[in-house]
Amino acid sequence: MIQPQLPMNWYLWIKLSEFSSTAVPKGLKKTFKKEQQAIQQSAKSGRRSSGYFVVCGLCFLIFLLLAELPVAARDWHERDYRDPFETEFDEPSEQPEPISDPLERLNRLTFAFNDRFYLYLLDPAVSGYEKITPHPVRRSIGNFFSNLIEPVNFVNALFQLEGSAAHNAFGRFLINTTFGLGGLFDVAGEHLEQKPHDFNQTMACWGVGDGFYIVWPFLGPSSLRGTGGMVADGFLDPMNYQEIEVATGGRTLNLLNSSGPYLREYKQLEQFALDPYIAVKDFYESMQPCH
Amino acid sequence: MVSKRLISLLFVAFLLLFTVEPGFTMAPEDYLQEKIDEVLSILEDTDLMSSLKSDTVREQLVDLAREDFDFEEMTFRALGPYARQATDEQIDQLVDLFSKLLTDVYVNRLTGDLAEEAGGDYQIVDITLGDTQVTRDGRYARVHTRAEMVLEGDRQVVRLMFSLIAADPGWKIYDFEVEGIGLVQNYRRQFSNILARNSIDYLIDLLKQRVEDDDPTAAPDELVPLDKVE
Repeated sequence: MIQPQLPMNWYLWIKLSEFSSTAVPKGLKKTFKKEQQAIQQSAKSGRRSSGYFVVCGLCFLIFLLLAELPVAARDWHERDYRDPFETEFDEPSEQPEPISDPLERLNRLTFAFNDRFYLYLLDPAVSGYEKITPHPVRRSIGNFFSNLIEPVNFVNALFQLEGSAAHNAFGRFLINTTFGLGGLFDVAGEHLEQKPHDFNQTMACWGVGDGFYIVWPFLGPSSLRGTGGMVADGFLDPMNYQEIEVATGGRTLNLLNSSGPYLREYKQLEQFALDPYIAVKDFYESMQPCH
Repeated sequence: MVSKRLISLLFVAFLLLFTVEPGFTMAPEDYLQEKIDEVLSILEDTDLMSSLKSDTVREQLVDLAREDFDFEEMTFRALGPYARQATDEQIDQLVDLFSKLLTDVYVNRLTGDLAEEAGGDYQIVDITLGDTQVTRDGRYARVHTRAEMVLEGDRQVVRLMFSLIAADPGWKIYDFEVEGIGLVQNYRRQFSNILARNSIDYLIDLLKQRVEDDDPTAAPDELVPLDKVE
């Protein structure tokens, strides 16, 4: 329903007039009319009756009060669209700045390619894998690959001078590799929570900018800094030191095992986004690493 | 001289205005926990897998969404600076379509029908809010909290932020963030990108298309204005 766009005191005045013409007893209605006439006469003669000032004063008071109350009338053309917690307290915005995207045209093409790869190849493969692999097995495989990246977490936590996180990563790797049968069981998880740290995060924490946005084939969204971080972390990834067959097999298994939740999120996003490319970019920016 | 009657009339009007003041009776964090419990009780009623298919459950959730979210405020904030360019008729259409889209997002997230499709053992046992911090500013409130839940058999702790606006009675949600990813902000960036190159009517058409299209496997470039990219 379209609401009137009137100054609040006018709106109130009209409402009062309507009120006086419908619901007010005759005596009051007469008095109200008399006051209006007196105001009009005094306006003509250039004088103001005391009633005029009282009515104006009350209207002004009500106007001030209304300004603090939710109003039914739409005020989209005047209102500040920014969140009150960002504007009124002068706090820096919690929202991340968009990463520049000079390669947007190329990135969109890669995004469209990845989209088909995810939906028509990866998704059926992951669904099939999840159907034949019981959840406890998937969880153990996930634990195994998650344990392999603890050295990356450890080194980057040190680079970021986060002693507690480094201690966590070291402890988790030691306990899970031994008592957790090579990382298949997350026995350390109850006391030591995994805290992901990577070189992208390290660079961000040391003030390195994003560079620009890149969508890589198969890998998805990244940035110049993110790509550098990925390469650097690769030196600590044990998969990179295996025979090519073992490395490929391991990576494929990890991809099938870990992609399910992300694909489900992705499909939901595709269903509701008007521009999935921008929606995914915003997700990437929101997950920017240095807290 | 002003008659006593006129003063009484204005005084009554003044008092009536106070009755429309939003109900600040409930703390925003309590309101949120109450609403979460309400949603969980709907999902708990029957086995989740069968309830996913139940129209009654979906309808109940749609009603809750309408009750709990301020869709007009969400649309306004998602449009950002472009809100000022919209005519009243366009505003009506935008609010209506965006409400439908967001209600679908909300219901689908809760029922997790895609999780069912994948055959995962999706379940939510409980969601409890903890480490809650509330900031208030007049009729607005922002709640930072952590929700503990069980998803697909794993215990997860998720960082949440809710933005609320006082309503009569209680509160309404006009934005939320999950792990730093904000709903309204995400749509605002999409809208801005579309509106930088197209008209508001084009955005309305896109929203219509999205709301009417129930096929989640539709390729994105059939719906996204890729050809509009410079």
